[in-house]
Amino acid sequence: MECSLKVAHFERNGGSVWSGICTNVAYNSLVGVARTFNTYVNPLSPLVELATGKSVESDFTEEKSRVVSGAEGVMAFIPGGKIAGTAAKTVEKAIFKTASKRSTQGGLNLFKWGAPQTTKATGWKAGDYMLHLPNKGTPKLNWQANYRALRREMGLGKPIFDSYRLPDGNLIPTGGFLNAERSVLQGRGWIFNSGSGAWMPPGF
Amino acid sequence: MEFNQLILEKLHPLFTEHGLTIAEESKDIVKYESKELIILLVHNPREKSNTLWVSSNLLNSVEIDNELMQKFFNSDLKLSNLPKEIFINNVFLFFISEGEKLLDADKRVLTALVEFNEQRSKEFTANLVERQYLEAANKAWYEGSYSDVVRYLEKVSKDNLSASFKQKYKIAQKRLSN
Repeated sequence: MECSLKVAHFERNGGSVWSGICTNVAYNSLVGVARTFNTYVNPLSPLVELATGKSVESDFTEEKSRVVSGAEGVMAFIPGGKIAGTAAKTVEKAIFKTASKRSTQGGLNLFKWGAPQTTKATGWKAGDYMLHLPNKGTPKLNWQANYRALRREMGLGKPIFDSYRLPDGNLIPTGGFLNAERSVLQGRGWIFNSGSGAWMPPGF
Repeated sequence: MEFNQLILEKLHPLFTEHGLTIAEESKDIVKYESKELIILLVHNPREKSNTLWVSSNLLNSVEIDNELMQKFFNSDLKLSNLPKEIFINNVFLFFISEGEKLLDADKRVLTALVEFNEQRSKEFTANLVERQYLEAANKAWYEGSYSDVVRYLEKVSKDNLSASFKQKYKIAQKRLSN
């Protein structure tokens, strides 16, 4: 099964951002890559889920909404995404600080699962990504993993974007993990900047 | 029973009666659309939470939560923090009572709902930002960083400053001018 067939399906549902990425990638190689890399934070999983229409967590046995997979994946594959390594991080930090002030560079985006703001095909910045964590079975375990991942990201000292906003930039009040994430940021002295849509670390 | 199966069993007949058709369906997400209305029902398996969004345009979608049910629809029905079976049942009860006009894509109701949601978001964000500035000003006060005290408090509406913060603002200004 070729990815291009599936991409056409996605395009009906939300956008064509994936067409350039997906058309030359075979289904089997995507599945293989996903099985290899599906560990803690796996930016490839959403792409594979998008292409195959199956959930990586279920080892490709369960159907998964392509709208969600597309949104999960779009973050990780925008050119200029994460830079790995300590040296690179230093460079990235310097670049990011300037770039984010100009609102041209993305970063971690908090999101509301399944929300239209999460699954939109446009409006993302270069380098935007989301945390895609495996389901550990219970909300308690998932929140613990989520919290640890958020704290690690906060440790990088970079602005954290909040994607659950209205077009006018204001935050949408909500419950669940997103509300808890907002509380964690606020409790640690991070300040939400409605102009950039990002939570800024103390002293940024 | 899976989330989408519950929807197909309980809500599908009601939605199709109102001209809505399924635009997207997976185990945890079902989106219904008509020319005038979009209804999105989502189950988040990680949080075990459920959410209903309604809109006439996806970017202005409104999350129908307990607060909105109470303040906009004057309904005691709960939609947040429920098992999926009860959530689906309450969505059904909502759409055959207070939410019926919404299901009919009544433009006045949809517009009022979007406006209510925008106002709620505006207030939520403004309160959050002001609270942050007050906390930051307080911290700066105890650190003796008077320029920061002034800077932060100037971002807060004067009407929302307590007597204590007004006093801190005055003292900080005085210290800076000395």
